[in-house]
Parts: sequence; structure tokens; C-alpha cells
Amino acid sequence: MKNLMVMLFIGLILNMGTALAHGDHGKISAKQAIQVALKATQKLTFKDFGFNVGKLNESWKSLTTEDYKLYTAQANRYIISASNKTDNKTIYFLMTMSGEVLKVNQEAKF
Amino acid sequence: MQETNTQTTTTQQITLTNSKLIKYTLFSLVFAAITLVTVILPAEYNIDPTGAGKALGLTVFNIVTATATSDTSTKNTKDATETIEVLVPAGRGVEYKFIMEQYQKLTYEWITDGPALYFDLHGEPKGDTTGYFESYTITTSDEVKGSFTAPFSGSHGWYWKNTSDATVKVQLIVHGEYIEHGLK
Repeated sequence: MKNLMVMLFIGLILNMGTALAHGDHGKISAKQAIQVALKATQKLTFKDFGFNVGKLNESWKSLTTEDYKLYTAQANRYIISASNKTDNKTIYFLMTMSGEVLKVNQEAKF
Repeated sequence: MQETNTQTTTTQQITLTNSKLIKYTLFSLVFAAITLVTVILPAEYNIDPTGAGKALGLTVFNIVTATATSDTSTKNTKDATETIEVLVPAGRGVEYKFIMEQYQKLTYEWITDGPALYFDLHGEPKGDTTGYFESYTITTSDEVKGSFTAPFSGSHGWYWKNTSDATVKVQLIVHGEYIEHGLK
């Protein structure tokens, strides 16, 4: 019985890694970050969220994923650029690796 | 007559020799490998080389996803991000629903241009005439983000109630599988 308990205990310890494997939730890929920026652009055409760019005009509504690019990914932050060909303007989204938009500027300086 | 009780005490020492330790470790590794192949891989990743996962019913969620995907193409459901704006007049309620098949998934986020709205995110089964509905979320907010998987075929969406004196505009951004959507 004692041997069985020891074996079960070691078995459980070895299987714990799988149970803890879900700890990586929250970190998004660059592709997902672009989707976040796209949705954030739509929201910014709806109302002013207090970012530097203010409320965006209607022309920003027509942007597609092709208009977004990963500008940089460093120091646990993504910077995504969005180019509006109609207005000939580009804005930059600073977001955390979990997809929280922190700042939106007309320059990539944050 | 005198009775003598002789009590013998045996001291058992717990020892774990190297050979036993190696044996237990090997057993644990084998146990973990079997669990990985028969339970974890089928349930988490739909990898089922032994067929044990299917027999145990662990691949059911992956099968459901595959069915929903095939339904998507045959029933011409949409799988793109859409932005919808809904006006909720002062002192009134508005329902905006999505027609979805069972197990289709919708991710959403919505915001208002003004005050918070009372809302009830709910679903009504297809063909039901009893007035039954199932609520998924009920609260008051000016911004919500989330997702749901339709528990049954039917219409699923939001009832927003505006108790303020001015019209409130809602911007709803959705991504997922559905057949059609509109005001109810």
C-alpha cells in the first residue's frame, strides 16, 4: 500500500506540468494584436477615449487588416501602425502583450 | 494460574533504495506517458493515436468544432468582423439578435456613446412558442467584451434598455459564426 502511495504521488507530480500549462493565457500574437488595433480603430470612430488622436473621422472605418502592420514588438509592448490611405495619415497603437491598448498617437513615440 | 503476555514490538524502518527509486520513477514516467497519449492529447489537441480518447468521449469538443465549421460553409454563415450601430431611444428598449446554429460561437464587444444601459444577453430556441429564453448575462454597463457559444439553435443577442432622457447609440463589434442578424 505504501509503495502504491509513493508511486501515485510521483505520478501526480509528473502530471502537474500539464495542469499548469494553461498559465500562458493572456499573451497575444502579433496577428491578434492587429485585430485588437482594428477593433480599437472602429471604437475610436465612435467616440473619444481620451487618447492623443481623439475621435477619428468616418474614413477610418473602412480600414482592413492589410492597412495594419506590426511596427515593433519590444519591452513587453506591441506597437501597431494603421495607415489610412484616404486621409494619408498613420496612427500608432501602443499595447501590452495581453492586448490592452495603452496609447494611440500620430507618431510612434510614446 | 498466572498468565504471561509477551508483547513483541517490531520497528519498521522506511527505506528507499536507489533501485526502488529508479523503479518508481520509471513507473511514473510510463504512467504519465500513458495518460498523455490516452487522455491529454485526445482531449486538448484532438490527437488520438490509440483511439482511447474517442472511446472515452474525450474528443467530443473537437468533433463539435469540426461540425460547426462544415455547417458554416454549407449554410453560408459569416466568419468576419462586423461593426454594427444600434440606436436605443430614450425610455425604451431595443433587441438586436443573431440567428445562430447550436454550438456556433460569437465574440463581441460593445460600447455606448453615453450612459450605461441595462442589458440582457440571452437566447431563444428556434421554433419555441412558449416565450422561453435563457439569459447569459444581465447587468448595466456602458462597455462589455466577451463571447458565447450558442447552447441551442435560435436567436441570440441583446436587449438594451435606455432609462435616460436621451437616445443612446451602441456600437457593437462582432466576430464569429452566425446566419444573419438584425433588430427584432
